[in-house]
Amino acid sequence: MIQHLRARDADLPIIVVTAQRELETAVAAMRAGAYDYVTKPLDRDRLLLAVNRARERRELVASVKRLESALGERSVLGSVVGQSPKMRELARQVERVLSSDVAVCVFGESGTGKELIARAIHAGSPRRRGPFIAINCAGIPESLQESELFGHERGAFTGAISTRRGCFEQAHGGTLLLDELGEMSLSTQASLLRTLQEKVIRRVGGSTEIPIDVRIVCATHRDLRAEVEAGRFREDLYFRLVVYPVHLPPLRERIDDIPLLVGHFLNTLEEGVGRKVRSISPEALDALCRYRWPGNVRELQNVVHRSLLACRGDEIALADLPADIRNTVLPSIPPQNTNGHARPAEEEEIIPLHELERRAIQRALRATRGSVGKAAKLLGIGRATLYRRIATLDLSQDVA
Amino acid sequence: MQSMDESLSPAAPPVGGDQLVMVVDDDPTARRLMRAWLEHAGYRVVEHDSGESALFGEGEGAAVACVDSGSARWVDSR
Repeated sequence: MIQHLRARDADLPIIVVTAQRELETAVAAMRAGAYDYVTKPLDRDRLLLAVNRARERRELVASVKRLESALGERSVLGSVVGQSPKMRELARQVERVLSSDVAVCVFGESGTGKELIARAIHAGSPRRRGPFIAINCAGIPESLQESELFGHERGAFTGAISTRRGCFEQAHGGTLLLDELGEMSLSTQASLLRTLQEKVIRRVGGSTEIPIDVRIVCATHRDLRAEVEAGRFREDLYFRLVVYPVHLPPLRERIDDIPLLVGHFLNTLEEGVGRKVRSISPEALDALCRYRWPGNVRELQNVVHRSLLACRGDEIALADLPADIRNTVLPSIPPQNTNGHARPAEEEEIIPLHELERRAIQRALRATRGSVGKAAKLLGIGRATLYRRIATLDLSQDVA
Repeated sequence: MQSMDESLSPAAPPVGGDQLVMVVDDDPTARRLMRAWLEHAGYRVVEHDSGESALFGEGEGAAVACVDSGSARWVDSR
């Protein structure tokens, strides 16, 4: 619902009204993009505060956008935080297609910021004064996809109580982001293809052809080529939309950006939390850099937000982080190749337990110059156990 | 819940600037209450009793939307 409303108006701040006992709904709504929440029983001051703040924020966003376009802002990806080599390369790629209308397709895992890239493309393009409309194909039931995209006439179907313009019409003169394109039904894909070829739309239940001028940016976490091969995505549409593919790296491949992102979230989330938390302890930051971030930047934002709420001082400490992230703080053991040389950990591997055990025992034996008794103490196990493990793992050459 | 009369008496200065707020709630009392408070603060209000009517009905140009969590789940429950 939240995504639908935002598909209608990408900048609409949504305040979720929820029962006190359903706070998890509010959290889920915030994750889905709601701006704020208020709880029932309703309180006038709290409601007005939230509405006023949301309205002010919207005005601020609008005036920043006006200023940026007035200044002819050319800082590509200004809203995307990242200085890592991969993100710099991405910025260069995007910069090349700003001034043309070429169809860009952003590939990336969920939460990597595909929509931000699309917005940056819009903001840096000659269409920046036009609207930016985003539609998430995954959140829309198949039966409503066409109506969302092309609009409908009053009475076109049950529930269509008034005529409504679809995303294409709303994006006229601007940019339309088709998010999670891989989830679009085959019948909607056929209509979309027709629209792209003829540059006109017809509302559901309508007969008039309406000309449209829209730049399409699409985004997906799926491998569209594989979807084409599996018969779930039209090949002709693929070639029309995937003209200029851009790959957004997952957060675990750009951990150098984590400190920057955390700083950014501390600044932007501080207002909502109502407290000044200026920094994060080195241990906590270290834990954040070790975690694998399956939910990517969105998950990081969520974790920073939760930690801010948990934080009692003016610095986020390790204890303020959610437990699953704290628990990734293990002394790192550099993976070794067969020559015994450490290789750079491009990706955190899952190391089999017996291998971990072998390395721990080897280290302990090295540290104690091969003394089994001292090594057993370091490892916290009995001497006899260590002897058994040394025999099983064939490490007797390490013993003094 | 505060009663409407008592909650409106200490007049807050109107700040809404005639902007439109969309209120979506299946509870008519909650809608009435929110409408009263918001209008008193200088907003215009459009009400919807379901997520469906909010998505397909009037409300274009709303500056802010207040959506109760029951209505917000509408699409998922279909």
